Amino acid sequence: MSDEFLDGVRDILGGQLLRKRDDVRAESLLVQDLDVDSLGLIELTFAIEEKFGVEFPDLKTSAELLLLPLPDGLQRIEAMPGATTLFEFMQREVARALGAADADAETRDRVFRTATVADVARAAGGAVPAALAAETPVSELRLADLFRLITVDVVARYVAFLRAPRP
Amino acid sequence: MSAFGRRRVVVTGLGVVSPLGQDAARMFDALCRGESGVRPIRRFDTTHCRSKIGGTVEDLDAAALVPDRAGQLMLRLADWVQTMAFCATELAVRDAGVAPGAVARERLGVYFGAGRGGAEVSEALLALVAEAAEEWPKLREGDADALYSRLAGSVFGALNRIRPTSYLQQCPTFVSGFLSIRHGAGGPMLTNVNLCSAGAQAIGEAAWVIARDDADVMLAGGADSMLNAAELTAFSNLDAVSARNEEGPEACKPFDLRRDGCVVGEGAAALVLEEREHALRRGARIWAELLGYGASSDAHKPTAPPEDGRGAVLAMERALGHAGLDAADVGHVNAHGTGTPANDVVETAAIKQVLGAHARRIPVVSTKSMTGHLIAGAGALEAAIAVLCLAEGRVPPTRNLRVPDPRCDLDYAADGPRALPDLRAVMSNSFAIGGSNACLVLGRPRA
Repeated sequence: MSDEFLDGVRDILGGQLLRKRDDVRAESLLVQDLDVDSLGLIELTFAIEEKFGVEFPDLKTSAELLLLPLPDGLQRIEAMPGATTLFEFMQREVARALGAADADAETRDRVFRTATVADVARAAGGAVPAALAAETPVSELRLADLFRLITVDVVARYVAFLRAPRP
Repeated sequence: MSAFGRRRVVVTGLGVVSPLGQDAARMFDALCRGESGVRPIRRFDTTHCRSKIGGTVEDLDAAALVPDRAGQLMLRLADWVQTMAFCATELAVRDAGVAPGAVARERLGVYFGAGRGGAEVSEALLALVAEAAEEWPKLREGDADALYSRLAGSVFGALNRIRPTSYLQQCPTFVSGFLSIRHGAGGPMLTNVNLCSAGAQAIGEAAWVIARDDADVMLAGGADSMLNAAELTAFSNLDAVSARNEEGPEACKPFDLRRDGCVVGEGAAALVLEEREHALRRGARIWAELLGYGASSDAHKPTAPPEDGRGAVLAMERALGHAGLDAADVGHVNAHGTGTPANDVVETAAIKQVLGAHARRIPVVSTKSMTGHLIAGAGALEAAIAVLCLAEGRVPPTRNLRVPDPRCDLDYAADGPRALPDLRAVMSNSFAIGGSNACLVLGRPRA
């Protein structure tokens, strides 16, 4: 489904990080495996916009927001106007992996709150990052921890999502 | 006793990225042979530029010089000026034999002179605006205001496509910033943008950081390139640049009656400045001692020095005073010597005022006719040249001086290089547009 996007994102990251394409895999964690920092993330979104002709919505976060417990932070982001952010997309992917893809927002939120780090990692297609424990419930994470769980594949899926026609 | 009191400051490393290459000793040899790094500019289309020649850096292989991935990731973010500074400092640190981590973070600092930088941004912007302007013929409907508004919309739309990292490239601070990150320099960091005096001032002020015990080692220098269409054209319009494009390496004629301006150069030079005891303890090679530094401002006109050269005089007097030297101790002056009608006559008078009769007994040389004027990099490159003069006991000639100007009546070594085996102290002048003046006094290492 997202091969075109996965290849494209891998190419971008390989060039940006001066890494061989084989070292940038679908399951690579952006922060832990690839050393993507905040500037790198900005560069990545910029390059994706250019390459795929999509508009990458701002993460709508602030330093204060990033320190909030993860579910509360996400709720605040959802309440803000604007398109679906990468964080919101990850929440959907977790809900989807746990069988709540078509559920209403309230159910999705409940499912997400009861998920663990391992569930999020599985949904993102990556390993559990060393900085987090697999069994930690999502409700004990802070919004900023979500950065650690972002994989190359999730970014590619997100690009596919942004490119898909909206009803 | 030097200006810097008990904490004497010595030079233990040199690195240059110059129009005459990146090997400091070879560059110095070339200068002594009177060779020039001035050539036709090939990097961009000069059709509409008044100036078409420059002291260009054409052979820098940054990837070979900085082969490690961490360095390359940083160079990916760096623009041309930042890249040259990065490479010159890499060479200087290697020359000094300072291993990574050998100096405690808080005892290592970075002071650099830097040009505006970000030429790639301004050129990308010009291209984007041109692209937006192409939309103009398609905008036929509406009145003039509506047309203007739509065109402006296209231009601002284009602005949004400028890469986020471009912001870093147009900030002069990142000349020092990248160096600080690269070398783990957690001590004081400063970027000086005082145009032609910036590099010399960065070195002089860095010495004071060591003197006041805020660092043991400072990476200090300057880097600049105005060799891009926008800056070169604007600078040429100030009438500071020679119009003799067809003369190429002969165009800039310091102290010559026919002089009509400088030729713009580009490059970077870095010195490793070190507290003397610190250098002795680690058995470092000591190139020279930085004896004194003086600074002043003309407080006069934006682009012209006062006829009495009082700013230049004050900078030189302070540098000599801080160094505790008499005029007779100075064996050579590396002049600012831009080859502009105003500078060379005012500088000559100022040198005579400071050194008196002794001014006529020593070679006063401008190396700018061979390197081009590196603007914010000039003072640093010339400080490196002064260090090499002391180390090798010889000074390069002033190239292209053939018709003496009666008002420029010193010995400019127009006839060729001079052997000065007993050379003990060199004065290096840098006087900037905007009025800032700096003078460094460097001496042969002594007990």
